[in-house]
Amino acid sequence: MRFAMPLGLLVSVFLTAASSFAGPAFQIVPLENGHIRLVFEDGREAETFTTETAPQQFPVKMEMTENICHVDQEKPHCSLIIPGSQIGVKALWTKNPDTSKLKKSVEYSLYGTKLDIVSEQIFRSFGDRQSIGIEPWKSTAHFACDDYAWLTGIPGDTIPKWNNFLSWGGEINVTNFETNVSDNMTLLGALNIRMTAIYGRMFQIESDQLNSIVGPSLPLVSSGPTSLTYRGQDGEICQAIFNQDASKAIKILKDAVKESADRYEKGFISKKVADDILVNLNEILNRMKNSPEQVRVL
Amino acid sequence: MRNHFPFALALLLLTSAGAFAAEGLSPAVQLNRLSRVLRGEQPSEAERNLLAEAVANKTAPAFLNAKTKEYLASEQHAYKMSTRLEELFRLKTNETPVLAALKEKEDADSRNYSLYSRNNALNDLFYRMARENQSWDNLLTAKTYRAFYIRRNRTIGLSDYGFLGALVPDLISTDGIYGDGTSPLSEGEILFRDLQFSPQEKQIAGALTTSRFFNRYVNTGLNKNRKRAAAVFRIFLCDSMSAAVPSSEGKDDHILDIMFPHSGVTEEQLRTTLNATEKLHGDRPDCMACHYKLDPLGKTFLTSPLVLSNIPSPGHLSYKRDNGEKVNIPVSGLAALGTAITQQPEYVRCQVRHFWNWFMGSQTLTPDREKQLISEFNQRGRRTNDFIQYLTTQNEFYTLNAPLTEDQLRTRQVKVLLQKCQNCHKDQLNDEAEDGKFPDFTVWPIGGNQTEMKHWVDRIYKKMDLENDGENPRMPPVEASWRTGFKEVQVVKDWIQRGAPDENGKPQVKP
Repeated sequence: MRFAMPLGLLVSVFLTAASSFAGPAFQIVPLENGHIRLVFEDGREAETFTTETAPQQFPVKMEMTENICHVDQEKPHCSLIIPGSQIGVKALWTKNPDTSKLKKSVEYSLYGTKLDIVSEQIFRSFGDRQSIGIEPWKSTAHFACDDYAWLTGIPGDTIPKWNNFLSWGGEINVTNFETNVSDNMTLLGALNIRMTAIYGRMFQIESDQLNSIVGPSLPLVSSGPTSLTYRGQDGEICQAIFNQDASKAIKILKDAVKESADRYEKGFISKKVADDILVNLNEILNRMKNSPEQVRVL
Repeated sequence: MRNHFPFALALLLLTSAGAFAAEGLSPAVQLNRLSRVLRGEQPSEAERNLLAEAVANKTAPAFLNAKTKEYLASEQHAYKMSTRLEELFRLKTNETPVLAALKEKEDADSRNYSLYSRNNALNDLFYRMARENQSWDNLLTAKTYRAFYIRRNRTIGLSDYGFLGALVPDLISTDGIYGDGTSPLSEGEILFRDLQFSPQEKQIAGALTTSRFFNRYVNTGLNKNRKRAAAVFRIFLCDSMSAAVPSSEGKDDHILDIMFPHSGVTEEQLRTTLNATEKLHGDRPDCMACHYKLDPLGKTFLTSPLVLSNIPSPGHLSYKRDNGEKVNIPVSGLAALGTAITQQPEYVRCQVRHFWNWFMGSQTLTPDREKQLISEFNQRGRRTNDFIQYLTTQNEFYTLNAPLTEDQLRTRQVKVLLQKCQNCHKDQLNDEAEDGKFPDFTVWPIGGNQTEMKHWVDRIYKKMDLENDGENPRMPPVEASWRTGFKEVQVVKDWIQRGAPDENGKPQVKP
């Protein structure tokens, strides 16, 4: 059952309101495949475009710091390898008397800071039901360690054929909205990660239950510590904590994004992302209406 | 316009006259009290007129009884109980509709939060406790939820749909939790679904397994669900879980912080103070004073760091009873944990105390009265409204707070301070005692007789350095979460110098 007003009505309310303030108000015109056109009162126009980086592997180092089942065991060095590509969505000028701005991103100023009026970044990866309504990658992620004794309990042991991570939790430092206190908290991860040993030295990992409440990003990758739970040999549930180092993955991603920055085209935009874009634009219009001195399209 | 004058006058007369019992109060005052406590508002003019008629017809008791039932069945009462529970769970308290309307002009995050805080499985459970006169145990055992999903563009927490997705795979969420990639909703729109889990479901435990509880009591690898465990102990067993105080002169503040969930020290600060080789688990006796309770209970949440896992994690409900008896109940998962808690006498006593605080206010609850209320609570199947209705028939419900005498006031202040001492010491090992326990500092005479009382009062005097007005106190220690100010030191010093009088002003030791 739905309670609130339909999005279309919501948009029209904002559009009506937007026309009453000074400055370049705009209308939002829906186009095919989730795209939109922004039509400004002064005749300028912009449309959404997409770009996608080339598919790559993103390596993340994971150093174990603690294991509640094997407290005194030597801590292994592990790696997580995430396959994927990043999709970017922006609104680019299509009609503008200042021709130098054509095909450039539409920017607005909020409290004096320049921002893109549309800026969606979506990481497309394995088991990727969380992303944007596009087909997930068929390839899987990989997880490898230099020692698997922490899983088997036997020092120097080889990789077990099979194991599952019951949960994967990645921490990020944010403000808890219930307490207004900023602190580390688990905000992304997955449940029931299937692990299959391949090549005798690494796991192929898959999960249908990726979760994240921090927006699209490299799945399973967090700036804070990562906790994994799994069943130890005796069936006891164990927890191992790792520190991740994603600097290399981030550099690869940044370089790829930079490289793809000029290749905007009319790719598919899912309904989820299209909705997010509309909500953001409405928020901008709302701010323009309520605080015109703080917000303006450049 | 409503005429409140008679009530204002009645209240004025009451406050100036001291304590009143129900039989001494006019029906009008009783109606006022019932309406305000149960619904949060004054009775209407029509109700007062009807009461006046009932008084004239000598049917006022029947009228008040009917009104009590009507109020208990009202939405306002359900919302008021919901707010009380929000406060008990230390959640942001829900806004009134008026405040919520004002917030519409605020940013999207605030709007989203308002929507979320009104539409989530935990608040729905809180509401139904009174609305459906449910057993209070359902806070720990309910298997029925109304799960909500609110389309949000910005992240403010989990939705119920995403949170429960591992147990109900077809719940569609689009905020990144098990999202199927399609988005059926626009911002601000709300979906809900009524869910009935099997009684055998091992992972569903009323309030404990809701997204809002998890959002409030977040988890980290270092914390290992101790925040959640501490909340369970505080809310359901009235164990405030203060940090243990090292009996040594140890200055291990950072270790204490690990088990000290509400100290205000952030994980980030904590991590910077820990070196890599340091053990994060306190296996020393002082640390274990809390760890032996927090860790086994926290383990039941182990597989659910962010969302609820369908894989239960076995743990234990472990704590010590007041008489020193150790409780150590193995539980197969969160549902078993919830059930086990409801079977503990400490749980029943704790919940009765919550009701007492809500409906009788700051009046003293004596041990005998508490026993009687526990019996009444159980006899009524622990049903929320049935017990509240019983409370409204008790004299204490209508007893307005009489001004305390100076002695009573001082005694109360001392007891508040000693309760803080008690929170820390109750689980500590007392090397000097045969049974290894510290006496309850809030039960007088401390230690059970005058000799022991004298011994403990002398120790308090020395440990707090009262001779020097608390200049170099050893208690509370630097690791404790609280400090004594000059005023508090003077209150305790004065109390001891006056012979540590009890609540009736009778000295318990020679000054």
